Amino acid sequence: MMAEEKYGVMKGHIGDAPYNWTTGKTAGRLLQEFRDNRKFVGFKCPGCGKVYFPAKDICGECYVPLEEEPVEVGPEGEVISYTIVREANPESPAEAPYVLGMVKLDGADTAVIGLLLAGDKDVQVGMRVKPEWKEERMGHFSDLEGFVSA
Amino acid sequence: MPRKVAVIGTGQTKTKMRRTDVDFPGLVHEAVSRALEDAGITIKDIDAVVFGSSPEYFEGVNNPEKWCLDASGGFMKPQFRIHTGGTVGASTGIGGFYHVASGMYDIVLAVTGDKLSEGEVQYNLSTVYDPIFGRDMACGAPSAVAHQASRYMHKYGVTEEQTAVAAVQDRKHAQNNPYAQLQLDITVEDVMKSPPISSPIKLLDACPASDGAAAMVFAVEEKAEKMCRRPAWVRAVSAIAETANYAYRDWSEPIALIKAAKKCYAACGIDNPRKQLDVIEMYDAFSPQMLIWAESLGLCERGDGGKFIESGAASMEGDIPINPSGGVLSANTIGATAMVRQVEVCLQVMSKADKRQVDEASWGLAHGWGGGIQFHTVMVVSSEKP
Repeated sequence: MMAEEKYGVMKGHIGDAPYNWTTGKTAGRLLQEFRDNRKFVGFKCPGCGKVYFPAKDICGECYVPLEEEPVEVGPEGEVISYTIVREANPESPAEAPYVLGMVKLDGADTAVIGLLLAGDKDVQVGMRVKPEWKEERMGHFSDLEGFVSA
Repeated sequence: MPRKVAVIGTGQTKTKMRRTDVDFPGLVHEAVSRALEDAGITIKDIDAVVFGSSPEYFEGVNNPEKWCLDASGGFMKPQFRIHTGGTVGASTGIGGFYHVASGMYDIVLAVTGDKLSEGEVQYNLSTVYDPIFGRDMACGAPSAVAHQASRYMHKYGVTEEQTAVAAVQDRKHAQNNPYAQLQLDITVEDVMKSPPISSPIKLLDACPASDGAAAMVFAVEEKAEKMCRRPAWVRAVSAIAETANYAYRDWSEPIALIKAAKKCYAACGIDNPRKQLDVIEMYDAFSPQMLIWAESLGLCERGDGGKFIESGAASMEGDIPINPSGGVLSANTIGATAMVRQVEVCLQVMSKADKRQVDEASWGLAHGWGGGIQFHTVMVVSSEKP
């Protein structure tokens, strides 16, 4: 692996144009944990103490780099908002209708958006969820299939 | 000390779902020509041009400021582009103000727009998300705002029937605005029965996608007074950004808007905005946002947005009319949308708003929102010179 690829590169596209996005430090580590250990890790801000998941390298509020050592968060969490999507677009994560939830994992101070796989029958704000992982994982956000009721 | 600045002319195009008679530069030219005519000047009088547009993918042309250079009137003048997503129209207006207030230029043209019919808007919007986290779950604007609405309505017990009142009111107001795209005569029941897009957002809770452009002419005090009988004085501006990752924020309480409003109110000596302002134009692309923005602007208590809108306070007959133009729910070009808010409050305080005129309006506030949610702008204008 080349030095500049230390933290991983994610392949993607816009339309037909291919891109190779560098993940950055914290996101690279976080996706490594997805792939190798099926675990969520967040990163703490040494300024405000907030645990970011998913994390980018900087706390914008304190304007300091997040701590290098990851903090395990989840695996369970709480739905803080949700939407039942009836109209998909070409890049939608699933066939409509599907449910998107904003989930705050236990121990994290920020939320992540993921598919709520249980469908729309019982979904509500405040419901407890746990992750469902793909068998084949490649260090990509989509390694996380989504969340189901805990 | 910034110099005193006023708006002396505005121009906007009729918004439509699709304009096939002009290209994007043609729309820009149309808005600029109208603004110059309104100000009673020619392009020769303009010292600098500020140009705005949204993500390049909307029109499919990178560096649109280059594409639109001639149409914007920028030939052999200082011209540059501003881009802050959905806020861009407001940021472009604020950029025009900065140019004059700074002392660098005396008369400045600000122009902005988009031609959304030419591309795949919701797909293109998905490209504004972080490619590592976010884009996989990117779902266009309706689903993003659906999370905001879900959180807000859960937190304060606001109902879909209450948010529907905003959808009905904007469309009713639009019937007085010849530039609006949708002029619908609908009821709360119609909104409730309209097809769900992304719960709790239904079709009639959502803005349309439009082709259109808008332009404003800003002038320094001495020239504004000479050139315009009743200019709209820019009394305060504020543009605040919060964190880029939208899952990091509580959308039911937009701290950037609260701060932007506070800064403007402090600058104008406003301590009771509902009483001291006469008219408001806000960027409510989806009906629940009118309630959230109203709370954040201090028009009612936090969580009381539902009761506020139901009371009729924000209608043309109410004590603080919101969106006499019909708002974003009646036309949304994205690129021009936030500037149209500024244009419309200028028209109000200049007494040029025709059928949508609020009686004796002398203080108006224009709000802009965008950039994947993180940007908020506020501009306060008045017929009273500072």
